[in-house]
Formats: sequence, C-alpha cells, structure tokens
Amino acid sequence: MENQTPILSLTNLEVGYNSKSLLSAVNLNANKGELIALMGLNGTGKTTLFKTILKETPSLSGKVLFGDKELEINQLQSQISVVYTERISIYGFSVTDMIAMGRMPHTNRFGKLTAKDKEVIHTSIKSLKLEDIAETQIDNLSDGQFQKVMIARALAQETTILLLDEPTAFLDIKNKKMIHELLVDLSQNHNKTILVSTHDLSFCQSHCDKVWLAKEGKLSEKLGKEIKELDFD
Amino acid sequence: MSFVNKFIGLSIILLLLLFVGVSLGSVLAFPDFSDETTLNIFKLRIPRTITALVCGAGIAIAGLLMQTLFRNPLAGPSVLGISSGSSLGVALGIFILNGTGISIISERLTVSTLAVIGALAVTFLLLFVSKYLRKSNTLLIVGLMVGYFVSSIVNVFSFYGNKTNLQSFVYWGLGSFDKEVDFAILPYYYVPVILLIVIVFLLQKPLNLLLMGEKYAVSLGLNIKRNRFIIILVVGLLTGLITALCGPIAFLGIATPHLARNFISSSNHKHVIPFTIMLGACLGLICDIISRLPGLDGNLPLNAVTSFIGAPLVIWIIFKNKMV
Repeated sequence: MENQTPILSLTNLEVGYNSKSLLSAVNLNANKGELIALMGLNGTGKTTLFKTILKETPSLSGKVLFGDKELEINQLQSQISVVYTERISIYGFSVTDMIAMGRMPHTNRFGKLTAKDKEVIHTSIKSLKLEDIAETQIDNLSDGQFQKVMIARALAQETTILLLDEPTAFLDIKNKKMIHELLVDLSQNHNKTILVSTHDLSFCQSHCDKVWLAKEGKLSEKLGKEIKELDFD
Repeated sequence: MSFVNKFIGLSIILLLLLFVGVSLGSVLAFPDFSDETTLNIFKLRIPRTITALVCGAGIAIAGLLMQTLFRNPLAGPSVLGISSGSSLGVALGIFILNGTGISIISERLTVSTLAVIGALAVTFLLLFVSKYLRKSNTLLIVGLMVGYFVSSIVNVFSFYGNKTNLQSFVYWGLGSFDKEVDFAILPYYYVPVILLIVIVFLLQKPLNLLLMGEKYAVSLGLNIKRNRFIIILVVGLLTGLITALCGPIAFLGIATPHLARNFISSSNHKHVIPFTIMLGACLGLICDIISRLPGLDGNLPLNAVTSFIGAPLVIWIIFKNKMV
C-alpha cells in the first residue's frame, strides 16, 4: 500500500467557510481499493471536507490532488461519484433510468446511450443484484433499495473514487448491513476507493481499512480496527 | 400505448384542432367559400390560429424549463416575475410613449419590443441575483418578490394613466391570440419563438440532470451556472415575446408540463419536451376555439379561458399524484 501513488491526496488542506476554519493542516492520502470512514462528532467539519473535495466549497488553503493533479469542478465527474443521504424523487423514473444517469458524463450532448453505456448499466444492475427491480419506479422503492440503486448509479459512472455522505443515516439495521457489505465488496472486488462519512463505529472497526477522525480542528488517521469510542472524547 | 403511438394520436388531434380553429368564427368557413369568408380566413383566422399554436407551445415549454430548473411543480413564467416585467414594458409603452410619436415599425411593435425588454430586464436581474444564491428555490422566492415589486410600479402607472390608455392596458392584460394579425409583423415573433423551442431540444441532457437536484447534477458534470443562465435566458425571451404578442397567459405554462408528464408517465425530457410542445399547441388552440365559440357576443378574454381550463387541471393533477 505504501508504495502506491495515492488516488486522492489532501495536502496542507484547511477547510471551513466564511474564513472560519473547521479542519486545518490536513495531510492524508487515500489509495486504490481502500475503504475509508470519515468520522467525527456533528459540526466537526466532515460535510465541509466533502464539499471541499467536491469543489462545492473553496478550501481556505492547501490542495486536493487526484493522482498528482488538481482538478476543476467540471473535471471531477471522471474521478468521483457521489451518493448523498437524502432521497430524491423523479416521477416516472425506473431503476434502470436512474442508473443510466451515471453514464451521462460519458454521453453526447443529447445524453444518448451507446451500446457500451448500456452494457455498463447492465453490469451495474447485475453487480448489485438489482435485476428483479430493474423496471420498478424509483418512487416505489424502499429506502434501502433506493440507496442501493444510487450506489449502482455511482458504479455506472466508472470513477476511481466513490464518496458517500452518510448513506445509511435513514436506514434500518438490515438495510445498513446490506449497504455496508456492498461497500466492502466494491472496495475489495471492484477496486474502488471509498470515502464514506458515518457514525457507525462497529462498521468502521470490522470493515474499514482506515478511519479519518475529525476532532478539535484536526483530521487524524487511524486503522479501522483500532478505532474506539474513547477516541471521540 | 407507446410514445410513438401517443405522439401520432396527438398529431391527429392537433391537425383537427387546426382545422376547427380556422373554420370556426362568426361565420363557419366550411362549406362557405365566399370571397368574404376566404378573406376572413387568410386575414384573421389563420394568423390567429398559428399564433395560438406557436404561443401555446412556447409558453408550455417555458413552464417546463422553469419547473425542471426550480424542481418546483408550481413554477411557471408568471411566477418568476418575468410576465410582470413584460407588463411593465407594455405599461411604459401605453402610458408613457403613447402619443409621443416614438415607434419601431409600428406602435404595436414598439409596445411589444418594450415588453420583451421588460421581460429580459427582470430575467437579467434574476440572473445577477442568482450568482449570489446557491439554491434555486431561493431564486424562485426572489422572483416572486421582483414580480410584486414590478407590479406595484405598473399599478402606479395605471393609477395616473388616462382613461383611454388604462382601457387599452386592461384590454392587453386580458390576453388574446389575435392582438396582432398582420403577416408582415408576425414573423418577428414566430421565428424567434420557434428557434428558442428548437434550442430547448439541445438542453434535454442538462434538464434531465437537473431532475436529480443541483448537487447530483454537478457531480455528474453539469456546469450549473452556465446551464441556469441559458435556461433562464430562454424562458425570459420566450415569455417576453409571447406576452408581448398575446398578453400575459395564465396557467398554460404551469399546467401543460404536468399534463405531458402524466400523459407519457415519464419525466425524461427526451419525451417530455416534444409532448409538452404538442400539448401546449393543442391547449393553445382549444383555448382559442373556446374563446370564440359561435353564439358568444364577441371573444372571451384568453386569460379567463386559460384559467378556467388550467386551474382545475392543476388541481386534478395534484390530487391524482397525491401531491397533497
């Protein structure tokens, strides 16, 4: 792992808003195929860090590097796919239609899907075992199924990094477990670098390679199996 | 029924409505082929019917763009204050310029140009404000407030205007598809409206991305500022031109996109755009036909007819989709 070129590097990064610093002197790397949990109490800057990585919010100082390059907001879609907490509703959209949205960065001006796009969509549906509900309207899905579809859409985007902002916040235990297992599978079998913000300590201990812990204005790194409740005090 | 079959069905209905639109009036055109009727058809009914078709489609597309941009089912050209901007332009033309001799080609076209300028002024004000707003719904609220603000200026003009000018302003506000029937002038409206509708076809991918909300749209590579600019500009121009030509048209912009989505059970703009155009054109023609049904003493105001049809339609859609 140590010899790899990091997929994502946060270099002397300071994040915040309106000149108010939330996290400073951040120097961390994410490597290929790593499952990294971003943890911290509410208000410690986790979401702001995500927004900074996604260029939604400018950094106060420092850099976010993808490989060895800094990217503009309109170049990020080739590197990062995102899954947010909130559910969205689109009238008349099927599961396949939603997953097809992940191919939009690859399509022409009219969003026309090529044979390759359709193949990738089919593979994403298969990888996440969504065949039975492929034609179901997304508004008729359970919350767990919906998040699974959004992850399939992110997979169809074919990026190296998958960023998930509290994807299991509204899910029950069973669906949480299902999404967690899915993330492990994506990092191990699809070689995706996954950065997921979560409050689920047992998931981090049992499944995550690393934990980035936001606390008292700093972001520190620990191994997943070493994280303890006491670390938050 | 497939999209193609539904589209063919709508095309047939549109052709029938075109035929009825041209035939219907104080004198039925068919089987009466007298010189007077023929003249009436070419001089009055054909321009009026084409205006209903083009403007119905245009205002419906403007509504669709706004509902997608703001992810708000109640968004429509009148909501953002753009129609009010047109009204201000018309009010300026009628109350201030009337009688001064200042005109472009004709007095009618001068007022229309001012209406377009008014719509664009509000549009660009909104664009300027939108640079400082991250959320589209906030912009919607700002648009509403701008609308109220502009309307208050129009009210002051009306209050101080003389009786004749006030009468023509009120008449303009009632709306009609036959405010302008001169074929020498109509292309000034038709050509840009049709071009703008064609441009909307090029926006189908950004519009589909916007259905997912701005955060997801950006993460999928959408240049949100540029597309928001283009969409608002298209809406401003469409609304300005159509309002200048027909007066403010209520409800068609809000109701038609809902009707299109329900008709094809999809929000995908690849299908919603053509169906909104077709349904907008059909509704424009239906409203025009109703407004001049034989037996009526004169024409009903277009705004009364569009509201009469549009308001219950929106309520029906809201209940049907359990949006309450």
